[in-house]
Amino acid sequence: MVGREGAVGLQGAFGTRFSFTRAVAQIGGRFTSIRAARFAELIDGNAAVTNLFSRYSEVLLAEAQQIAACNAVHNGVSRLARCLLQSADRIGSDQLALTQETLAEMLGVRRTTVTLLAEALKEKGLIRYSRGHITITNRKSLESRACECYHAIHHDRLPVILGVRL
Amino acid sequence: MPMYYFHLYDNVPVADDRGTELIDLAAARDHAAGVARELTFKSADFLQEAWSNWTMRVHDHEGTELFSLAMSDFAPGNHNP
Repeated sequence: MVGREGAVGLQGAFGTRFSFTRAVAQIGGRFTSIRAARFAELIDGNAAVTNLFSRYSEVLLAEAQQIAACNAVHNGVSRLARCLLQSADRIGSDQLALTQETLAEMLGVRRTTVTLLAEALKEKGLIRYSRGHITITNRKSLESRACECYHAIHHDRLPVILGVRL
Repeated sequence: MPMYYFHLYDNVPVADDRGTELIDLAAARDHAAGVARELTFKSADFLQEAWSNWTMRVHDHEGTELFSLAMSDFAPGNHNP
């Protein structure tokens, strides 16, 4: 999951690549793009930027590992809470234009499961939702419901844990 | 295709207000079992009520109950039916 803290397709700067995955904009917003060839030209020979990319890749890999483990061992409520908080951090807003269908895909569960989990979080006063929109109404409590993965992969903390500067 | 609604009940219902379109009752049973497994996965309770207090009741679009499941049958430590 990438938001305002990161970027996708950076490896294009190191020559032609085939993309292993397709990036999808889950939540619309303003973003900047640059043609891969132009980008490669700009950073060619720039050791500082190249170095930053490798550190950023390390952070992304650690995050992917943590989430893979998370989906295998943590319960639905914790994972949903983690996913909502992560998304909110990445767009810088507690109002998320995320459908339950999208959340179900992100968590690898049936949409009905998300409906019932979201209803439970709503019942506790942690979120509000209407079709296609979720608002975090009590961030502190939602954080306490999230698994430790949220805290481990937080974009302020993960680079510190890895000892890399971004 | 008919709509099926997968509500959870203890004292207070947790409503599946969206419903899911499925081909038939057999598909609805599979869906219910799948949702029950996902909800109980690594989880001792729901809204701080043990799974033994929860029942999933599956309704059709008119609100008629078609079948129900004891959520505790799917909870960790039990053989998933």
